[in-house]
Amino acid sequence: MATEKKNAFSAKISRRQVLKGALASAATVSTIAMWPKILRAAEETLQIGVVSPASGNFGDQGASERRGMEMAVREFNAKGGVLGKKVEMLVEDDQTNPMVAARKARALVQRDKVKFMIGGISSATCVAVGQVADLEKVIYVITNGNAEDLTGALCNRYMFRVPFDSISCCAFMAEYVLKEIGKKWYMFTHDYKGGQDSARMVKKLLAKNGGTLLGETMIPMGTSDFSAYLLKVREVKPEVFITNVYGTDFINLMKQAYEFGISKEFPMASPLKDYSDAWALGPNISKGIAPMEWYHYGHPGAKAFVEAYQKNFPAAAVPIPENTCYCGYVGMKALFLAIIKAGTATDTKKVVSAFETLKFLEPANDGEVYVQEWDHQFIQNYYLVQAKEEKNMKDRTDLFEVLKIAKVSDYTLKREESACKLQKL
Amino acid sequence: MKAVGRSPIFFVGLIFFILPLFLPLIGGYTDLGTEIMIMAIYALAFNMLLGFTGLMSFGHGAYFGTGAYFLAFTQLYLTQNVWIGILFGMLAGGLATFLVGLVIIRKSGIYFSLLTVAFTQVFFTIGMRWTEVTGGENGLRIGSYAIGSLDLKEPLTLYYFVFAFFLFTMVVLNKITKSPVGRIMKANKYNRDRTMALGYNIYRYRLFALTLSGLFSGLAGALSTIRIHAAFAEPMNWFASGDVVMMTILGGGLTNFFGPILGAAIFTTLQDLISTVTIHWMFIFGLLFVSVILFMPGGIMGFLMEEDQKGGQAMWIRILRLVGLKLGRQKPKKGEIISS
Amino acid sequence: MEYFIGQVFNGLLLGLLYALVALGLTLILGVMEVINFVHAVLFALGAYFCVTLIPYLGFWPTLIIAPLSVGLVGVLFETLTFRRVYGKDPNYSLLLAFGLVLAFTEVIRMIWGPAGYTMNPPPSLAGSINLGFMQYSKYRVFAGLFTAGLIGLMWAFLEKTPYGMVIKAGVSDSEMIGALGKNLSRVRTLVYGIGATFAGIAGVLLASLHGVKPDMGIIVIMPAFVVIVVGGVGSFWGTIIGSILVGLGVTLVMMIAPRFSDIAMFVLLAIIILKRPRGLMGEKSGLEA
Repeated sequence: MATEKKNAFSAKISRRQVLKGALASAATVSTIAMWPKILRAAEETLQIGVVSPASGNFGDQGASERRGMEMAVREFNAKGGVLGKKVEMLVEDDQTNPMVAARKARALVQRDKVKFMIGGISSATCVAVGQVADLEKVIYVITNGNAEDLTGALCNRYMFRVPFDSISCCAFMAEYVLKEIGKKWYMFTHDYKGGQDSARMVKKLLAKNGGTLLGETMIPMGTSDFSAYLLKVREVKPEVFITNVYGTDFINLMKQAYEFGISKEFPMASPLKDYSDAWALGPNISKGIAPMEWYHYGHPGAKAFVEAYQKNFPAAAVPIPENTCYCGYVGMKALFLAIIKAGTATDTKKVVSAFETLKFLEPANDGEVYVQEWDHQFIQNYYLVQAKEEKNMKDRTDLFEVLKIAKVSDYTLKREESACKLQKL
Repeated sequence: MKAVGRSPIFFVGLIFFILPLFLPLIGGYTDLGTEIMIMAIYALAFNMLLGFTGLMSFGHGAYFGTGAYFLAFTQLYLTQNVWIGILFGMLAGGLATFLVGLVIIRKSGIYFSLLTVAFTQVFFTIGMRWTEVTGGENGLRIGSYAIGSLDLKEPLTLYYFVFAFFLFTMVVLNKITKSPVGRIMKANKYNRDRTMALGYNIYRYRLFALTLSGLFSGLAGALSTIRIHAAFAEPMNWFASGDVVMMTILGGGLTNFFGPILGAAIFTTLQDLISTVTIHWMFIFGLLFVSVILFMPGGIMGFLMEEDQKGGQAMWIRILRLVGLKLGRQKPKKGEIISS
Repeated sequence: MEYFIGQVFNGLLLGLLYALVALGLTLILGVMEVINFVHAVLFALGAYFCVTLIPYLGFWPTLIIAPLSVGLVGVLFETLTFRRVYGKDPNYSLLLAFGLVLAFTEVIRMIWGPAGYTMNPPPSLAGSINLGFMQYSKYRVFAGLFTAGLIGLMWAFLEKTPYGMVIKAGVSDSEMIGALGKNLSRVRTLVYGIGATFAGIAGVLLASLHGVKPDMGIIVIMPAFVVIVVGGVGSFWGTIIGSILVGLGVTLVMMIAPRFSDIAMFVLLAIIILKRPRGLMGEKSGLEA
């Protein structure tokens, strides 16, 4: 080999040497160019780490919750920021994957030195980020993870949860459906933490209230083909078909349920629902009863919030704020209020104490929002909704009819029943 | 002129020893360095198979993951002693590799690679679905370790703890490379038939290489669990296993013992630091990898170590030689047989 | 009973779609001895072109234009990258393809976003159709018939046309092509283009069934490889039979033990490689080292 090279290139500069030089210069130049961005200067702003899905099963919900957070940030920055500092969101995509979520959370804390994290749709990612928050003593506000043990067995002093937990939503739904629709249920359960949790609740509630579970099918996350499972439902003929499935998988499920005629034949219900899913499906294919954290036609006071949203995001994929968006907003807002109340953005222990006794009025949700001190669960209004027929819709966003409104504290566990043991600060 | 000096391991060790001092200057942080070392162990382990036998495994994630889970099991059910945890993780990784190896080692080429994919997918599915044992998709979380008064949760403490294992891995694997066993395995790679004709059972040596690589992959997995306080099934996916393949080849594992370390550093750094600039870091890495395959089969290390036109050593190597670093081709001692 | 039959149909459809992808793979493997992993990206591109084109052109024109575009992209890949590694160790092409898949899956994310899309069948094919003994999805019936038709066309091409026969010969022994007086390079490009187009068609058809996401190709490529190994490299009927087997097998396991449906295919792969590496109908191929 060496001999060949000698003959071919002896007089000129070797092509490979040029290449080596080019590589070296390119590497140096790009590194220098990227330094400022890599260093992410943090002195003048208050940086909030956002761990939220932009891809994977819950990409759309993630986008929605980030819009809500953005609204809160803009609102406070317009009034001078939080404790005099402008707020900046450092957004990381958790890909709806707990391992990635943990990695991003760790990077936010160790590389970017954030003291506050927020976000999360999949409960599994919330658990992963919660562990990082606990280890690093950094505050984490869960905006859309519903698994019960996030404020139960897996609770920790630095973690706070905005949306209702799976107990309060299942109980709210079960009470209504058992009374008004039917007692024999068949359930599809999304085989991940959130789904498994709700499944457990559903079974307990059925047993307590005289309902029967005719059967359950576990649906692996990322399933795109439900044909096999749907044919089983027709075979079993339940009185109510429970879809304990979420995100993109739920959308595929409903489309195929429509294709096979199942959604027309059987009344459907779900332990919880996200507006995004109904929006993606459209009124004919979206069906069923479910609890939702918030609905834009839920009460007249929401109008101002809807208008603020439309002003902020005139070109958004969804023209009105959804439940996930509202939770992102109120979670970020509550975090700011806690920081202001504590008077510090660096002493997280003080902020935790302030957070635990936080109480404020939220006009977008028609009433008071407060935090339960013993498990860090947010208490506020929530809604039981039913998918509307196209002919009853006021406009193309009016996908649901509100059946009932309740407070999360009406259905969630009482202090004595809670499995949460918060550690000392 | 014979170059008197220290082995490259000394220099690599030195670089990593003082790395925490200047990591923050380039936007990095101590934990990133720890991650690089863990990936370097994984890649060095992987290269024990690839570099020696030429067998391309897309299933090493299974052994990494097994090590990761078994460390977690040890902490959760057996003992808080971190050394025992690591030992069990490593042994579990090695045992899993050995058992899989017994089945697949007689195959070569793409059939071998496909078999490694099949097996790692089985591991992956078990990890993802056997929620009662592995935590399923949520992963298996563990608490922090302490050694006496040293808290392994502290980034710097963990860094040097992992550093010790990194040195250990380099020294042990390098020694094996240079040992008689190593020579036989190298010979087998270059000319299988001749080696067999010499009476060596190549399958036994292959199995040895595979198990060795699995043992240290398990070590990497165990260390990973300690670092992130959880074990997950993801690394066992065949596609994720591709990461270590790419790191190793990019760095130059096919021609150089230290190549994998460079590859691991590049991959991990790109993944972490570049993702603050663009989330599409994988595009950069993918293109880099493709360029290496097309233009630099010896990997980056191979490219850097190339001889210049006159057949002598690259300029920068000659400079480093002056400070005592023993690199590149040496003039053979009288009668010595050089293995390349 | 209806449930079971519905399942069998679903399995058959899945198998046929696998066949579309696998046929391209096996031809490329036979003629070029390249393990064309890039098929994963080509398949995904088919689906993504669909997403972009359907709002402007509607479903039917897109069904023709999108796969042809993918074919073009495939040919581009072939000329720019794969040509360099013909004749080298198959590991090279595998690694090259792996790197390309990673890079271009990221390009898909850059252009179309990371979140993925759901697509609906065109209105003319939406809803269910009464097959007499059961209700089944209209779109699936169409997809199945269309794919079967395409496969039939491919068979006719390979068996009945002179060019097709040259390719068939090339699959067994690529040097034959030169011996038969055809330009090897041109034949290779054609084969790659056909393979890419087929992958594109599969992507278009699958988009309305399962939705579209950046890594959808990676999900389909492994079953395609299993199919090739099971059926035997280079064998047309082997690939068809293998696809049906794998499609049905996966679907049936999903009925019985959904948690482990992913493993079934890999267990099958391992068994075939260990016990009968040439597959059901294969001959010595580029897969063997």
